[in-house]
Amino acid sequence: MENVPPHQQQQFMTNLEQMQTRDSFTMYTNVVSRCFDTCVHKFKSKNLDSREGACVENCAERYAKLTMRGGVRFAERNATLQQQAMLAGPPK
Amino acid sequence: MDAAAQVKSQLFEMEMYSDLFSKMQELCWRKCIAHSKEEELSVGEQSCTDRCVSKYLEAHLQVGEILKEQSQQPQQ
Repeated sequence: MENVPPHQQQQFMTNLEQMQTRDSFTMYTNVVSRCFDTCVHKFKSKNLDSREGACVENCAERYAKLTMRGGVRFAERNATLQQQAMLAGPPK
Repeated sequence: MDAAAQVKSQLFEMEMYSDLFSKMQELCWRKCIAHSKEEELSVGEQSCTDRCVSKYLEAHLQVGEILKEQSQQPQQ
């Protein structure tokens, strides 16, 4: 990024932020969809009963924790791979 | 936030609602609609659909709260 002019760097950051916003919205709707599918099977009333509510809560929390942990491990692994690539030097 | 970013942000939110709606449709179809050959929804299917939509939106709000809480906690 050092050779990129500051104006373009700014543009990059803005685009990145927007991408992240979009990703988080996508994750949100995915979680709702998966958890609803897993947890809700009967439609005798129009509100979630306590069992369904607890199931959804559990499901969403686990998904969020998975995402965070996955993200951390992904970043670690990526960093290791990049380091290895740098040590190996340019392809011969 | 400048005007362009605000517009983008609103667009994303609208996209999210559209996504929400289509996922809800898919699930409520699968859970409520019997695969009969009639055109009209039965009374049972109609009320199932109403309730499914209501429950889905409730789940949507609940998950929103949970994800917000989770994102405010420190990572492990």
